[in-house]
Amino acid sequence: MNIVVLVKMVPDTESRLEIVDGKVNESGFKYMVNPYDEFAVEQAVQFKEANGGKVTILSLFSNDGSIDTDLRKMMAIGADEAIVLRQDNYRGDKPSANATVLSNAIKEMEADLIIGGVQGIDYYQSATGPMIAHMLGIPHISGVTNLELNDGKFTAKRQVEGGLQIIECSNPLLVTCQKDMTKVRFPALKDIMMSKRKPFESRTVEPVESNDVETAECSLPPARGGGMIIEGESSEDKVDKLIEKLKTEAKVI
Amino acid sequence: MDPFHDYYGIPWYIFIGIWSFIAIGLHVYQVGFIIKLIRLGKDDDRFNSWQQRMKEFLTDWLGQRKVVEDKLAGYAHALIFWGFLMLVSDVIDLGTGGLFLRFLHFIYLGNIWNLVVDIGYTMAGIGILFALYRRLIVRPEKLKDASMEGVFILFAILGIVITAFIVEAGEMIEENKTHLNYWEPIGVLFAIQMENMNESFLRTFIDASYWLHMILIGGFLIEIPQTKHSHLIGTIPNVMFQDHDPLGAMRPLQLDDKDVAVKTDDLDFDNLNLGVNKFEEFTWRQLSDGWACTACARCQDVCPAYGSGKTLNPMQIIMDVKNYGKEHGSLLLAGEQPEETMVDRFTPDAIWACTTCYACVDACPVHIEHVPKLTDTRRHLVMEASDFPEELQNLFNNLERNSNPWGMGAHTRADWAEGLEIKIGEPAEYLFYVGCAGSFDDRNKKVSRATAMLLKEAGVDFSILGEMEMCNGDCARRAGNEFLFQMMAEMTIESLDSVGTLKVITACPHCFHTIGKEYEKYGGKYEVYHHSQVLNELKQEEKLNINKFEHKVTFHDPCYLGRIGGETEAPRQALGGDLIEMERHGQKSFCCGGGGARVWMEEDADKRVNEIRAKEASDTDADCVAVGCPFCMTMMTDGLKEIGDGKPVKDISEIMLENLNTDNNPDILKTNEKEPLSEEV
Amino acid sequence: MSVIVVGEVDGNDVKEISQQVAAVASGMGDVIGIVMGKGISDAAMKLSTSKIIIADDEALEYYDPVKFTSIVAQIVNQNNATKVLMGATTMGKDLGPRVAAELGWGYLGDCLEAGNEGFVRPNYAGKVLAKSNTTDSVVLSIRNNAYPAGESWSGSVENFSGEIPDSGLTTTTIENVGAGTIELTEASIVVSGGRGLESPENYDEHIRPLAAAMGAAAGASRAIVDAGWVTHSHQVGQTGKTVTPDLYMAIGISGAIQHLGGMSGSKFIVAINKDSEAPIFKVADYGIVGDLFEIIPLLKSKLEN
Repeated sequence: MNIVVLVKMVPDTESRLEIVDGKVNESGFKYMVNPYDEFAVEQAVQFKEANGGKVTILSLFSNDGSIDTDLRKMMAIGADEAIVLRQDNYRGDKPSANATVLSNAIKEMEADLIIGGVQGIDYYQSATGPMIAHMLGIPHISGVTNLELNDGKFTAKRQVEGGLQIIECSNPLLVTCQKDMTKVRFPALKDIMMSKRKPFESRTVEPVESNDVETAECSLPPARGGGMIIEGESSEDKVDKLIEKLKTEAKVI
Repeated sequence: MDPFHDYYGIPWYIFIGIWSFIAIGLHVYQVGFIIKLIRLGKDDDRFNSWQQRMKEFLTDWLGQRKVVEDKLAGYAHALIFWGFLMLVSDVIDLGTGGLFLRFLHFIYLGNIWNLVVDIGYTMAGIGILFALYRRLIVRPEKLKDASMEGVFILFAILGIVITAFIVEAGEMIEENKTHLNYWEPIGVLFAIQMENMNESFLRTFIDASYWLHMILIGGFLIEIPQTKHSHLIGTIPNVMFQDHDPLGAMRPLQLDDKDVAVKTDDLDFDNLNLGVNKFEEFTWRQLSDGWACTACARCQDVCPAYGSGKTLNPMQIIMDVKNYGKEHGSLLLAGEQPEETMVDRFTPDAIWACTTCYACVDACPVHIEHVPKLTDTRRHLVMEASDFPEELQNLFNNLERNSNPWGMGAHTRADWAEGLEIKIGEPAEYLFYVGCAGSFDDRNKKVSRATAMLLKEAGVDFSILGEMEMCNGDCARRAGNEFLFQMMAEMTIESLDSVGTLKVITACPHCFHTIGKEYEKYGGKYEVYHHSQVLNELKQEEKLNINKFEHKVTFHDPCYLGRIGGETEAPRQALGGDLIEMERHGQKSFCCGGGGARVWMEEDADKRVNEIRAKEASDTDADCVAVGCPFCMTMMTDGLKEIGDGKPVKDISEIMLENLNTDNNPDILKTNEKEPLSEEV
Repeated sequence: MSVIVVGEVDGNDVKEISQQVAAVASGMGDVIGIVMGKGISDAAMKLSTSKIIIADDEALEYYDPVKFTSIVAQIVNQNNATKVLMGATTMGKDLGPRVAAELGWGYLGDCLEAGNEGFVRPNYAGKVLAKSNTTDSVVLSIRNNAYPAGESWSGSVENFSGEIPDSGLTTTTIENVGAGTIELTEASIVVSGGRGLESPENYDEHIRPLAAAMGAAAGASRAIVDAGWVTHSHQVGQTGKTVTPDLYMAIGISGAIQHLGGMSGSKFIVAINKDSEAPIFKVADYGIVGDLFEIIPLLKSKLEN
C-alpha cells in the first residue's frame, strides 16, 4: 500500500496575533505541524506496519527551512520519506491553488490512500483535502474518526448530525482525519535520530493561478481578555442575557 | 589448656586447613563473581581527589558518621563494627595455634594486642546485645516484617564472641594452676568462672568452643557475599568512591575528555546509551550500590513515594540491582541478555513514582545513589522506548513549542511584570530568572511581583529576560527527556550570556539548582541565588526594613533549596518572626510531592504526598505556611485544601512584602493591588 | 444572475440553517434551491427560495460528496449561477470545497457573515476575523447565524433530471449515537463541572442534564475527578484531555492553571461561579457570578424551550 500523507505547517496556536495595516503580522510566527495531520501520519504508519507499503509525507511550504525539524519528527513516527514542495510566496489560505500544486505532485506517486487532517488550525477551511480528491478524480471521506482497512477495503466512520456515518470504499481514496482518530505516538529519540537518514526531498514549485478569494482585511474580534461579567437583577435576567450572547456573539446555539 | 592437639589421631591443623580452604575458597569465589558483575558496568571515573576521598573514608566508613544518625541501631552497629576491626586478627592467631601471638610477643606487641582484641570482643558483644534488644523488644515498624535471618546472624555473632572468651580463658587455665592474663580482662572473668570445672569437661568445653568459633567464622565468611552482609565489603568502594558532584546534579548524556557535555548537535547517537534498561548500562558504581546496601531501610523511612503508599521503595530498587545481578549473573557474564530487563525488575510504576527529593540518598549511611537509577531508567523509557505516562507527552510538546510546561504563548512570559517598570533584556547586576510558574501561573505571578517589588524597594539593579527567558529544563530532565533538557539548557545559556549575566536571582529552587549546579557542564557558569538568600541579605543590611510580623509561620523547606541546595538558614532568617518548625524540617524536610516532574503526573487520590505534608503543616500551631518554591506553593495549597485546612500558603517574599515597613514609601504596596489575591482549586 | 442554495432536510423539515442561508442568498440575486436525498421531496418544498430543484433518488439516500458535487455543478452550469451557498454543516463543509474544485471557483468555509458588504470568516480559531470583498464565482458555507430565516413561499419546483455518477463510496448505515456519550475532544460544546458543585450527586443532577440539553459532552475539573465524583475520562486539563470546542461552559470551576491548559483553546468560554475573583473569569468571554444551583436549572429549561 502506497500512502501519501498531507502535512501542513501552521503557526503555533500560541503565536502572537497582531494586526498591522489590516494584515496579520506573521513575522514572529513559529510553525508547527498541524495537529490534525499528526493523526494522519500515525494512521498511515499503522497501516504500513500492518500491511506493508510505503508512507510518504508531502508538504507544501515556503522556502523557510526551520520547519524541517518538525517534519523529521513526523518521519520519526514511521514515515519512509518526505517531500517538501517549496514555493515562493506560499500562503496557507489558498486552498484551491495549494490543492492544485499538491494534486499535481500526487499524480506521479500512484497513491492508494491519501490522508491528511480534516482542517488546518490556521484557516480552518477543511477545503484542501476534498479539492485534491476532486482534482485527482477520486472519492474522499472527511472528518473521519475511525478508519479500518480489511481485505483492501476501507471502512470509515465520521460524525454527522444525528449519528455516525459508516462508509466503505476501496482505494484510491482520500481521507481527512478528525481529532483523536488515533493516538499519536511520541517518537523515541532514537527514531528521531534515525529519521535524519531517511530521504528528505525539497522541490521547488511555481506559483499557480487560482480563483481563491483573497482576504481584504483582517481584524481582531471584540476583545475578550478579562471577560465580561454579566450583570442582572435576578438569576433569570442573567441567564436570559447569557443565552442572548450565546446566540448572537458566540453563535453556537 | 588449648584446643591445639590431635583429634582421633589427626592433628588439629589438618582440620583447620581443610576448613579454611573451604571457607576462604568459597568466600573468594563468590566475591570474585560479584566483582566481575560490577565490572560489567560502564566507566565512571571517580579515581581522583584522593586526599578528600581518604578523609571521607575515615569519617564515613571508619568514623561511622552517618550510621550513628540513628541512635540505637547506629551505635549498636558502630560498636560491632569497631569491635570487629579490633578483633578480626584474632582469627589468624586461632587459626595458627597461637603462632601469631608468639610473633607479636617477639616484637613486644603481644600484650597490647591481647587487650585490643579483648576490648574488641567486648564492644562487639555489647553491640550485639543492643541490636538484639532492638530487634526483639523495641521492634521498630520497619522491622515488623523482617525475616528471622537478622536475629539468627546476631546470635551467631554472639556465639563467636562468647566462644572467643571461652578459648581465651581456656588458655589461662593449666592442669593445676591458672595464669590469669590481665591483658585479657574479660577472658580473666571467664577463667575465674571456669577454673573450678571438672577437668575433662573443661577440656571438651574448650575444644567445642574453639571449633564452634572457627565454624561460625568460616560460615560467616561463606555467608557474607550472599546476604546483606555483603555490605562488609561493598561499603568500602561505596564510601571511598562517593559522588563528588553537587547533590542532585544529573549526568549529561555524553561528556568529552574535559568533562564538559557534548553539544546536542555533536552527540554520537550510534554509540550512545539513552538511559538504562540493561544491567551493564549502569555504571560500576551504580552496581556496587547493590552490594553495599545493609537493608537498614532508612531510605524507605524518608521516601515520600513509599510513605504515600506507592509502589516505589528505594531500598527495593537497590535490592533489585543486586538480586537481578545474582539471578541472571551467569547469563550476564556470558554476554547474553536475560529476558527480564531492569525496567521490568524495577517496574514502571515505581520508576515514575520518584519525586527526586533525594531524601533517600541523604539518609543512606553508605552513599548509595538511589535516584539516578530511577532517572536513568526514565531516560530509557522516554528516549529509547517512548513508553511513559501520557500526561508527560503534553509536557514535552509544550516545552518544545513554547518552552513552558503549560504551553502558554511564549510572548506572554513577561506579562506578570506589567506596570512594575522592570528592565527587560538589559544588562544589570542581577538577572531575575522568573521561571515558568512565576511567569504564567496566576498564583505564582504574585510571588514574582512581590520579589521584584522588594528588590526594587531595596534598590537592587536587576533585569529580567522577558520573552527571551525559557524553561530551564528541570522537569524535562527529571522526567527522563534528557535530550530536550539539553536543548533547553543550551538555549537558556545562550540567552543568559547574551545579556552578560553573571549573577542570577530566582524564586524557584528548581531553577536555582539546575542553572546553578547543572549548567556548568554545558558551559553556563553563574552565581545563582534563591530569592530568600538575596532578600535576607538585603534585610540584614537593612536595605529592606521588615516589621516583625504577628502571624505564626511554619516554613516548608523545598527539597531543591534545603536538602539538595544546602540552604536552610536564609529563608528562616528572611522570614524572621515567630517561626514554628514542623517535625521534619531543614535538611530532613519532607517533599511536597511535586518534584521530579511529578507535579505534571497523575497521582491517585489516596496516595498523595502533598496531603501527608499538608497534615504535618496543619498539625503545627502556625497560622500560615511559608514556602519558597512554586511547586510547593501549588502542592501545599492543594494539600491543605484537600484535608480541609484553611491555612494560607504564602511565599517568603509575599510575607516579607506584607510586613515591609512602608513609612518612607507608602505607595509601594499599591502597585501590587492590581491583581486580587484569590485561591485556586 | 442566479445564486444557488444547497438545502438540507431533517425529517419532514428543511433545516433552520438552510433557511437562513436562503435568506442571506436572497440579497444576492435570484435564488435557486437544491435539495438532494431520498424521499425528501415533501420536506424540500419548504425551502424558502423562489425556485427549488429536487434530486430525490435511491442513490442519494446518504450524503456522498462525488454524487452531490456532480448534481450541484450540473445545476450551476445549466443556470449560469455565480455563487453557491450552503450551511456550514458537516455536509456543507465537506461538499463546498469539492463543488468549488469542480467549478474552478474560490471557496470560503464557515463564514460568519456573507452579504454584499463582504464575507467574513474566522481564522486562527476565531482569534482573527478575515474579511473578503464580495465576489462572484465563489462557493460559501455559512455558519449557523443570527440571520432571520427566509419566509416560506411557493416558488416553482423542478425535479433534477441530470446524471448521478457512481462514486465508489458506500454508506452502510448511520449509527445512532445517544446523547451524553459524545467524546469530550470531539464535542463542539463542553459543559464542565468543578468543586463548586459540592457533591457528586449534583454533577449528575446539574451537569449531565445540561450537557444533554445542549448536545454537549460533560467534562470535569481535576479536583472532582480526584475526589472520585466522576471518572478520569471526563477530566479536562493539563493531566486530562485538551478540548477546543466552540463553547466551553465552566460551572463551579475556579480555573487553576492546570485546568486552563486543557480548555483555553476553546472558541468561546462561559464561566459560572459564585466567587467573583475566581481566575476562570479572566479567560471567560462571559461570566455569571452567582449561585449555580439556581442558574443551571434556569439555563437548562430556557435552552430546552
